[in-house]
Amino acid sequence: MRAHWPAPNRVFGFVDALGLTGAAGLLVARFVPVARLPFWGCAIRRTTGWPCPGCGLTRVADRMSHFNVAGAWEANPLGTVAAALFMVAVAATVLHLAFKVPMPQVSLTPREWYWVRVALAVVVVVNYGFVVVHTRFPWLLAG
Amino acid sequence: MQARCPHCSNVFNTDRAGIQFCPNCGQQINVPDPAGAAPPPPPPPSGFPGGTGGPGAPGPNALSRGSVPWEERGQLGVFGAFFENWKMVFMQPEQFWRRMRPDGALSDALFFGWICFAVNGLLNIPVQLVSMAINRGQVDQLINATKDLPPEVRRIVQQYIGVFTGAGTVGAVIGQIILYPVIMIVTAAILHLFAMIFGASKNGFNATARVVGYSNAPYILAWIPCCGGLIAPIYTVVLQCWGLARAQETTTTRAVLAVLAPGILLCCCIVGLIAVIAGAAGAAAGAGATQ
Repeated sequence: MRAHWPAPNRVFGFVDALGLTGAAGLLVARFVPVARLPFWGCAIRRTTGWPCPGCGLTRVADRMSHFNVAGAWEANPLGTVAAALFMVAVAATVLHLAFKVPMPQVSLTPREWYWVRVALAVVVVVNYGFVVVHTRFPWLLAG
Repeated sequence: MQARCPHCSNVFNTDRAGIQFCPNCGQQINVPDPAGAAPPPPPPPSGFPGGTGGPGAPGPNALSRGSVPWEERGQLGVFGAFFENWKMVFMQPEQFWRRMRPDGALSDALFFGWICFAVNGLLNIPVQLVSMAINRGQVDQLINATKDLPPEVRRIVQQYIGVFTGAGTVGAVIGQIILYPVIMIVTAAILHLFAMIFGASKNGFNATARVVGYSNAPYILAWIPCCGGLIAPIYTVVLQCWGLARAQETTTTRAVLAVLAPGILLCCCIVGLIAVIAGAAGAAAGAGATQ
């Protein structure tokens, strides 16, 4: 892994784009009760009773925008981590664009990227397992 | 030798020509070879045929690219450059994407996409107003169908329907046009995130954002009733896949996966939304038939 700290600047980059995305998403989740709209919901879960890997993400956004971290974690742990990272990106974007705080340029080797992807795949599977157990077999977690 | 960054105008010393990062602002730049010699050798092959996941060393193809017509507005004029660019994206995407520089200005692509989006919006307003006048009965039935919902939800649904009918159409279109830069950047951020996951982000975020901006060319025809709203988004997705493959110098498979993965992730919500809208429309039609 190679990291490089450029000089102070306000050049718009990927982290700023993620920060803008996070800010937009969290503002919508904060002020629009999307989860309570009648047409919102997971068609797979409604039809089969089994959740999809993305089930709970709307509740995560809703609860994280109200700073209810425990509730968000209960809905979807990986989504909660992602939402928290988006919040960090929002803060980093503000620091970068307002105060010229430089963003580190990190580059990984192909081998490091391979392990990042493997870890991500494992985390997604484990998270889906948690969501399935929490939705279908909640007594397993209660015990 | 010395090089000047076109983004921050910083002059710095470098020992090689070719694409590299500015040590001051961190932007990706192309340092020309003063001797006119061949560009530096490409980076060592990675474990992924489509390149590494991060914004590593760009491929050699990026060096041989030029500016697209829209970026030659000084010579062609704004209207000529826009028309030529639009024609090239729409009719000759392969040539366009091979010509587009991944390290060019993000603002050029943003303004091009913004103009396409704005033209569509302005042409769409009269079409929407006529369409709403024709379908007024169905909209009223849809609003009546919400009377069984909880009061808070009913209020939100009725507000939503109200925004997209009648005078609200104009406000919604103008709002979308104003918000276009945010929409484009958010789209580019999500697409680039998945491009990184699938190893299709060799030339960095700037290249992805430029692809997203220029890919909005079909939206200029989205106002055409019946087929425009269907064909434009589909062709935009096709252009995004095509552009991402060329701009990030990756395989088409990786580009298609990166473009379609967010949609697949959101598929459940979209399917649910379509099912409920279809159900509501069916219920409204059924109610109309029984009256």
